[in-house]
Amino acid sequence: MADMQTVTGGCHCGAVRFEAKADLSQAMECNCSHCEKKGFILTFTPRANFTLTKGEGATGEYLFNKKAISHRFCKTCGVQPFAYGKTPDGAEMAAINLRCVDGIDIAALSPAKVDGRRF
Amino acid sequence: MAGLQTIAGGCHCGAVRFEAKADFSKVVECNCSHCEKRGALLAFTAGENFRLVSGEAALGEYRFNTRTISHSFCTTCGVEAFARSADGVMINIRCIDGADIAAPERIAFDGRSV
Repeated sequence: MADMQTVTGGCHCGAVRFEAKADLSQAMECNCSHCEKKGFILTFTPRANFTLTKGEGATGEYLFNKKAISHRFCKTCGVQPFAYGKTPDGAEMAAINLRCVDGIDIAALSPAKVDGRRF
Repeated sequence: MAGLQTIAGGCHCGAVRFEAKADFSKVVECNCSHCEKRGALLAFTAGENFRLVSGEAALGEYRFNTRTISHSFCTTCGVEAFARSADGVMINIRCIDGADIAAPERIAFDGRSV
């Protein structure tokens, strides 16, 4: 059962900020070529639960492979707090990099391992 | 004693590529506000052991706090493969070709308290 919390977060320099309702108990860590390089610890939430409060113009977009996921990183500090994508049935989602949530205790997360390298 | 190993690596999109010699048997995992957001796992080496093969123009530079470290990220994909300072180069082992990030011994560094 989802345990939604309201969190805030952003990049390192402060140009990009977000607010979201997310389930921190549903974290995942993927070993694909992209996630592993960025060290992502992700949780997914419906797009309606995610608000970019600052920095739309401050983000760069990176697309690769199927180009289905809009990876957004800060153009000033390079940190990627989130991405936009869709579920297989088309629902709009946001992927939140929990490393970028204010005051997060990384050690307290138990991310599920996803073998994205084999997808 | 762990020896120096020669590796190649880069960002995700391929714009930034480097070669380096370093001891990759131990990496520093720092909990400062910047490293933690990147999940950086860092191996240190002298400047002469690092060569940027391609992508100088593709790099964005980010400096903060004492501004002594030049954090270099790819402006196309956002990946930060390395950072440079007067003391040498910090290589994010996540960005080494074929990296097994679980293999090196991780040395926790309390950068948050520095």
